[in-house]
Amino acid sequence: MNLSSYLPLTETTWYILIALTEPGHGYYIMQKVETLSRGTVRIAAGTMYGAIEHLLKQKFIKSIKSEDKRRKVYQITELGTEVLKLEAERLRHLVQVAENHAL
Amino acid sequence: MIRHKLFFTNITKEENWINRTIAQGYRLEQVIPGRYKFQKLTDVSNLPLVRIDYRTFSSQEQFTDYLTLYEDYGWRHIAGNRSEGIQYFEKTRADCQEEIFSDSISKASRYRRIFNLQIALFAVNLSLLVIMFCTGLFHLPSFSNWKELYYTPGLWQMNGGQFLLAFLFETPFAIGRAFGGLASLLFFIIVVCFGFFGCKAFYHYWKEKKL
Repeated sequence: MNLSSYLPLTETTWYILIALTEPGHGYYIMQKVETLSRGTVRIAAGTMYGAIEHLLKQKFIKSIKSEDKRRKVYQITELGTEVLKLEAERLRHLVQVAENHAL
Repeated sequence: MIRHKLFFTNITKEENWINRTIAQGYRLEQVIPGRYKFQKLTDVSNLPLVRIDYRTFSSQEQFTDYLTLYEDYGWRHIAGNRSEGIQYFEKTRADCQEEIFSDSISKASRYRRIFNLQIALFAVNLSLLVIMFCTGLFHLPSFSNWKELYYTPGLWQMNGGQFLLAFLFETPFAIGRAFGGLASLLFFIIVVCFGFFGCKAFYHYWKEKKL
């Protein structure tokens, strides 16, 4: 399967996947993403629900067993981790090119 | 206070109308399609804000998860059930965001979901309609003998006001006859409505996607 077809990831997707390297529910993801992005990325409720659904469909994240009956808990899958690694490599290359041009 | 208003597919218009009413010192208490129940507020310093989502759920568990997510964010669910789809939320905390969507694509997706449902209903019922048509249920007349649908004796010999009255009176029945009965006529109208509202929803989706 050619994972590079999923690249580039949107900033939102990138942050959500990184946040889910540790299991968490929807609101936790929002808080983690806000921290990671230094307050620049604030995902609203409806957008978050849709993003989670989309990532589940793409099998980048999965729903795991949670003690909380009212909240579903998610975690990144192996496939999701692969995609993150590819994207990180792509971003590193971009940064390298920038540095090579004194930016 | 109870207000009656019908919004066909335009969610933004509905949200704006509700919030304008709230600005007059009310709170949205309950909604049944077409009927909005507002509660007069004694303290108008912290007016609530209402936002609307459209989403259906196949299980109660999923619906609870969705509602809890919104609750965590600071949105209280006012009205809406898991099969009908229109969900009304009220902002409860001062620090919670003013919008339930942070980008235009997810905001437009509400309309996409409405469209998906309407078009599925349209397609399924249209095939039923086609089957009905093929079994000869409809007596659709050709252009030349449409007058045969009117059974009133001596209708075409009448003049002026009398003719107009009799003609207009019988027209619904004539249309009903063309469709093989009032029930199938109603069904035909419903199918057209699905198609129409589906297209309207898609139009809103397409427009909001671009914003």
